[in-house]
Formats: sequence, C-alpha cells, structure tokens
Amino acid sequence: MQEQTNSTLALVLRSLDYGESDRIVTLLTEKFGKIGVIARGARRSRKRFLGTLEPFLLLEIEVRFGRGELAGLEQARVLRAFPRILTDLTKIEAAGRALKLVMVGTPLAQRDSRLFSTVVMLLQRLEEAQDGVEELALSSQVRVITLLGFAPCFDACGHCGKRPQGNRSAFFDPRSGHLVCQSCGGASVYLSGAARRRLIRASGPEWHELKTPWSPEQQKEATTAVTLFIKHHIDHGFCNGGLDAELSR
Amino acid sequence: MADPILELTALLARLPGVGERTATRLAYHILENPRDYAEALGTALCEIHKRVQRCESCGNYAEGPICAICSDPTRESNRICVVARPTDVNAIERGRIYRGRYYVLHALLSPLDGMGPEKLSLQPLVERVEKRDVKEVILATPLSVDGEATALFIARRLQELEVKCSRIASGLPHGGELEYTDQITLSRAFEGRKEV
Repeated sequence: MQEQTNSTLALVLRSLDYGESDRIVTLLTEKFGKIGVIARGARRSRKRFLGTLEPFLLLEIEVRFGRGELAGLEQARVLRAFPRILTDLTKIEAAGRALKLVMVGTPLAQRDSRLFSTVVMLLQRLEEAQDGVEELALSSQVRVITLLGFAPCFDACGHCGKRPQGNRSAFFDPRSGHLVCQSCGGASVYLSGAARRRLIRASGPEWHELKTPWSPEQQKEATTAVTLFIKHHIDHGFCNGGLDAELSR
Repeated sequence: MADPILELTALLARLPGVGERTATRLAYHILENPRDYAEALGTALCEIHKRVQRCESCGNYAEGPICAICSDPTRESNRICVVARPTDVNAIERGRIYRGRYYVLHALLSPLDGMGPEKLSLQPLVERVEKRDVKEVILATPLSVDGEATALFIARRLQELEVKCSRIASGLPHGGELEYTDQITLSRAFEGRKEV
C-alpha cells in the first residue's frame, strides 16, 4: 500500500546534518505536533529545500509517514518569513529561547494547535516589535509552559491555598511551581503584586497583549521566577538574556 | 569482511559528509591501489597535526605560527574579514576581490542549540582591532540564523571600539531567477538595491 503524503504548516525547531547529503529536522507542525523528518538530499540539492530548513520561517510542508521513526520530508515552501527578527540580536534570542523551550518540553506527535499558533504569533509580534522584546519573550515563555502542561501557579499558596489579596506581593517557589505565603514559611523569589498579575495574564490567551510596559523591577522579578521554574522543570540549561548579559559584563 | 577493513571503514565514516557506504568504497579503493598510496596517505594524516597549526593572528590554519596572508606585507592590514571556517577564507581568496586580512572564528553562536558566546574566541580579534589601527571589520559569517546572530553579537562587541563594522550583502545569485528565490533573499535584495 502506498504511503500517503500529508501537508501541514510547520516551524523548524532543530536541524542536523545526517549522512552524506541528508538532514534530520525536528519540526513543530500544526496538524501532527512535534515530529522528526528526514530531508533526503537537502544538502546536495540546491533547489529542493534551499533556504527553507531554517528556524524563524513559517513553512508549508508535505510529509510522508512510513514505518520508521522519522517521516520523509517531500516538500517545503516558505509561507511567511520573519526577516526583521534576523536583524536584532535580542529578537533572535527571544525567538530562539521559545523554540528551544518547545523543542525540549514538547512530547513527540502530540498535536496542539494553540501551542503552534502561540509560536507563530510570537514570531509575528517579534517581527513587528519596535520595543518590549524582552516582555514579549517572557510572556511567550509563560504561555508556552502553561500550554505544555507545567502551569506554574502565581495566584495561590500551594500549601494552604490562601490567595494574596488584591495587589499584594508574594513569594514564589520555583521548585514546587507555586506561591508559598509567609505563614507557610515563604519562598525564595519575591514577586510584587504587579509582576504577579502580569504573569497570571501571560499564562492565558492574551499573553501577547502588552498594553503598558513592564517596569525594570517587574521584568527582573518575573524573569527570575520564570527562568528558575523552567530550569527546575523543563530545561536545566535554560538561560534568559545570555548574550545580553555577556555583552554588559 | 576482515576486521582491518571494518576498522578503516568506521574511521572514514566519521568524516563529515561520508556515510557508511562511501566509507566502505573508500576503504576498498585504498586497499586496491598500490601500497605506496596508502603509505603516503597514512603519513600525510599522521603529519597533519604536527605540520599545521592555527595562525596566532587570524586563527586560520598555517604551517608556521603566522599564516601566509597575515605575513604578506602587501595585504591591507587595516581591514579584517571575519569568517566562520577556514574554507570560507579559501572561497573569498578564490574570488580575488578582497586584499585585507582575516579572522577565523571556528564556531558560530547558536541560539537554538545553546551554543553561547563562551564558545566564541573574540579576544584576539578585539586586541587586533585595538592595537593595529583597524578601520573596518567585515562580518562574513553565513547568512543563516546562527551566522546572523554571530555577526550581530560581534558588531555589538566591537561597538565601543569605534571601528566600522559591515555585513556582507545578500541577494540574488548571478544568473538567479526571481521566481525560484526565497522570501528572505528577495526582501534583502530589495532592501539592498542600488541606484543605477
């Protein structure tokens, strides 16, 4: 029986050279979730996949699923490029961190159209962004980890269930992924009420609507909480602001 | 298959771009050729690390501490072209359009694979720019995400040194057709258009 070709939208998460002329590519697809494909002749042919198997491109692909672990990539064409991301190091880092998070945290072949559209939306917003790139990056990370099922809790103490009133500050424990109120002993990461509210909003579908800029303090508190949470639960090598930190050192 | 052949095949298959099938073909080719050839090949392989080292100035491979390009007094010393690999130097030299010097990175930043700036040796480049009255640094890293990230990182690192940093242009290849060109290349070709 002939295997069927399936077409779907896709984003490249990782690409590795394989053998003499092939490339193994990990893709986040709209229809099939994260899949591994083999692009035969990708390094030899100047026509077949030229310029398409790079991150930060929205692709329309045709894949052929067989018995093996890897599907065959039959065709790929660029549906939308995000060239302005490539002109700004902060944008490249922001997009790169989100894709790495998806790469590490997503199981194979589990379709999640919300996750796919979140990553596409991030690329779109980064392409258009004049400023607020770090805020977009952080909000997208919170949204992605929520969609991946890790869902840190920023609105209640994980021990007694007590919710901080209104705009009150709180302590977040990255290891357990929830707040710990002072009566229960507190935790290592301080979050102001404003930072907490923004993190709660970022975990929902409106993560990308950044109406007012974050203050540097809010950004710092939220970045610490999210980075430590990701390091504990998803990717211990995860780092926010690596290149920027290196440059300002 | 005899073990020495398997052993040679396994070693050859570790070379980039060589799969098991080609490695087997190469192993038999070596075996079926006169012994002199295998010996010359073996000697060349043994000698390569002894005879070739990285140029202390640009990082390219050289037979002495300083490569031929860095020791050539006719080359423009106030212009440095930064490339990712030694093979990129060969490619530019083939074009005979550039008469300046080089700096070979041997690595690229990779935001998706966690390859950070600690893998990039930039201090010798910074020192050369500071000490040798360099007027321009041309960033000729690949036009990929990793290449762009590396170029932007180096440009920012050199910002405070008051040296002109330029990025090689990208656009349509000679004889290229618009119909078959990808969107990023096309958009760059339009952005970099020149008045005629």
